[in-house]
Amino acid sequence: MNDSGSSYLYLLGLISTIVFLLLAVFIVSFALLFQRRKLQSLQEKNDLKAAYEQAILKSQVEVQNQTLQRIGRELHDNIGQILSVIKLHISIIEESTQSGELHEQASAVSNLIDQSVADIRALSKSLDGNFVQDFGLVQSITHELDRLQKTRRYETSLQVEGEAYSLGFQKEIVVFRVVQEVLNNAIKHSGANRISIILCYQTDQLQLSVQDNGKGFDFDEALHRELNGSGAGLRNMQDRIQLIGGVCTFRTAPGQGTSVDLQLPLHEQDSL
Amino acid sequence: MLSDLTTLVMVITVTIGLLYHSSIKIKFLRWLTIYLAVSCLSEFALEYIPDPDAKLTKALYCLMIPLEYAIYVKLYREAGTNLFIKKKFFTFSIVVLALFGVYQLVFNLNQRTAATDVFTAMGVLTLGVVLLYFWDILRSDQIIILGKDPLFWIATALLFFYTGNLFATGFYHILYSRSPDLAKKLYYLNYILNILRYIMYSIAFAIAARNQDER
Repeated sequence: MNDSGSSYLYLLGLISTIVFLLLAVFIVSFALLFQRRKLQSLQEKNDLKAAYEQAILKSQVEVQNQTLQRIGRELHDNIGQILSVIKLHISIIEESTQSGELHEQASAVSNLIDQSVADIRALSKSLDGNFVQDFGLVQSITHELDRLQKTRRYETSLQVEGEAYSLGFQKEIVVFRVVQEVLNNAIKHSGANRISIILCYQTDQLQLSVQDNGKGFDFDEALHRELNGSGAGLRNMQDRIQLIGGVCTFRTAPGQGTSVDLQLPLHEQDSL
Repeated sequence: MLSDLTTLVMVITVTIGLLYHSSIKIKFLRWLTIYLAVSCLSEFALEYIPDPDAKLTKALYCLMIPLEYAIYVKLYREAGTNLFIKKKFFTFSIVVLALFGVYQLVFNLNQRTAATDVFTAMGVLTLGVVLLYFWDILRSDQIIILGKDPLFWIATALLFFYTGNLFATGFYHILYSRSPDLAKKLYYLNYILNILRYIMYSIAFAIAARNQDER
């Protein structure tokens, strides 16, 4: 074969090789691009799901706040008013009977009504989100612990470290409701007689810890119970704290009490 | 010059492979490091053993090429989800290639293309395995971060190496008989692709070892 034949063969080999190499480049690039698109698509799907879950949670928190506020207002305005009227009538009976057994009974009922009015007022404040807005988290938690203390069944304490600052109403109301739920759980399930709350205001975050000396529980077991069981409540608390950019941790074991720790970074982005 | 550079890169790759050998979790990737080490030693040995007709070189290639192919098939069979790659076909192809290698060794060792034919057959089969791996990636619902998958680096290395070499090596002997200079020129591509292949192997070994550390 002459030179031109060899050159032709060389060119053919070279061009075929280049074509095949280009094909290889295309395959690899396509695979890379395809995987990247798939990853992006998954990311978007996850973001959408997270946004949807947050929107649901947010509306749950809002509905809960509105409902509790309405109940609180009803208690204060309606039942409170009725009790005041009853008190007025009892006072008339008390005044008309200067002495004797009836007078004493009227006086006892009057005292009971006073106590009921005070309790309803306290409960109404506890349910009213505006209280948190007006007086802040520390005052609201103090009020909750006072209510518990008054029952004489619990010894409570509140420790505030650092200079208190506001997290903003939206965050504080969520924290406050979670604290209320933790206290409620302690009352209902723990059998504790001592409950303490520690609020630690740091420059970058607020740490809040609710501790009781109750019987504790198996957290993993409780968390994996059916959705309508206590697991849902625990998860819900964690979700709500997560919604405001924080972390909610449970430290507990059977026979060792329970400690619920909230960590709330100051500058964390949240959806509220 | 380019040949020396290829040898140097190969030695570096073998060193990296052996260094990471114990940390690599994927069994057949560990085998590949051993194979490369043996292959590298053989190449060096061939430099010092007199082999005027290149018969020893061809014999060695005829035996080692099917072994290398077997490692790739096993590597992708174990990792892949593609049903086709899991079928007996590829196991059967190892046997066929091995028999072909033995046939070339016994009956055709005098021919210049004895080892090249085995290499070309392996190239075509390996491309099949690698393309099935890529097909698997496109088809699968699983999301793999390809840059962190050692098999992706091996597959890319093999894809470039064999697509580039099928003609460069396949045409070599035909072209050499007509124009040795042009044949040698075309063969430079083999060196370049070999360097690229070994670099990608090194990356694969490092990634496989790091993945294991992260676990």
